[in-house]
Amino acid sequence: MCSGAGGFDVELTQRLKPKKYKCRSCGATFESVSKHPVCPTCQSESVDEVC
Amino acid sequence: MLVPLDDELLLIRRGDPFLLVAKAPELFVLCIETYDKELCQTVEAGDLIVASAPEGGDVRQAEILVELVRTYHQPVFVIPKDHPGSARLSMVVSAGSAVIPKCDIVRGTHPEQDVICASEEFGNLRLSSVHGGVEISLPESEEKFFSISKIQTTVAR
Repeated sequence: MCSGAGGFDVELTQRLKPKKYKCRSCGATFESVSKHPVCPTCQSESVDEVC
Repeated sequence: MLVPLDDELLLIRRGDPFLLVAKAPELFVLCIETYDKELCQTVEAGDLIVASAPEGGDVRQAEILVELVRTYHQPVFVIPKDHPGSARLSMVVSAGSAVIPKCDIVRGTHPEQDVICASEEFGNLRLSSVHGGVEISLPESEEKFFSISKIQTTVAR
């Protein structure tokens, strides 16, 4: 049975591990769950991971 | 089985429940909004965008959901567990290089975009993006229960 609302929920083994990035082009900071992070503000792929 | 797919939509139906599958035409950022933060997911050209209707419904509604993401890059909203809004979600959407239907998750609560709430009949089905199409992994004994067809999107591209 699909649980729908309020039903049993499983603990998924694969949890998201977002990393923080700063865009070199526009300066925006964002969290991405992708191996290939792209700035959501200006679509630049020129980003740096920040700790 | 490999199903060639370009910018049309792939309808995978088993009785009333269905999945509607599209391919992303270009790279874009899908924002996943949770109650306290925003997570970004890079959708690559060719990745899958899948709407699921676990109880069935109007395919046009699923098409709108798919196109909100594929064409308009509308963010996806994730609600907390035990939120009453789960009961209002007749259809949900997911995106990624592979999408796995699961019937044992609560609708609208999972930011993981490689899973999607679906009818239990879809539990053995897996969708993967391949060059030029979609790979549908399904036990051969179950293939006869599914109808797979292509429909043209009504959104001008």
